[in-house]
Amino acid sequence: MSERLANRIKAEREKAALTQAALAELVGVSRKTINTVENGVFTPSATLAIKLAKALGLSVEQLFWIEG
Amino acid sequence: MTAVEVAERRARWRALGFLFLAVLTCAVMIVVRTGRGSDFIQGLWLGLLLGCAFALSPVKRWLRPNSAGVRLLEDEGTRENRRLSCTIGFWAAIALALFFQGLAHFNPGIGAEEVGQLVATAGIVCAITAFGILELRAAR
Repeated sequence: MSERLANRIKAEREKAALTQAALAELVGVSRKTINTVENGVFTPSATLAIKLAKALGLSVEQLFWIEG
Repeated sequence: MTAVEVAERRARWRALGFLFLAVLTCAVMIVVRTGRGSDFIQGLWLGLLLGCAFALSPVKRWLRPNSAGVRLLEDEGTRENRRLSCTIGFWAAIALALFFQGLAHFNPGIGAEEVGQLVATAGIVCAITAFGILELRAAR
């Protein structure tokens, strides 16, 4: 059975009224990286996951979880 | 325009440039292999191939690791795309080399120069095409 890293970045980003570009600016990556992480195409490093969680005011466990 | 927007625009142009380079390298390779290639065309092929390999390397990150623009352009999403595209290029080159190894049994006249040119071109062209497509897809 394959496991994948799911996330609620899009919902939390929209709740915080942030665009992908604005969130990218906050964590210091490109918008396409935010886009691919949001869509589950790219699994972020621990560093980026922590930065994303911090930018959205959540813990990493609240933002990411394992599915499957 | 913010730094993220500038980086995104540059990344898109880079991806399109890579796809153009792939088409150009294939076109020059065809000219070389159809026997119409002068020394100039052979040199152009080699120059294009080396240029593609150079463009595919993260040389900017090595030269300017502290530049904010380079950090955005060479972030971890891009590094993952580069790693994946290099893997694709590697396997394309291996597959073509194995194909020629089999073909040599039936056509022993096949030359080392021809095989070398085709294998190198296949590896590099597949890698830069994959990188261009992955970068454009990520930016959608």
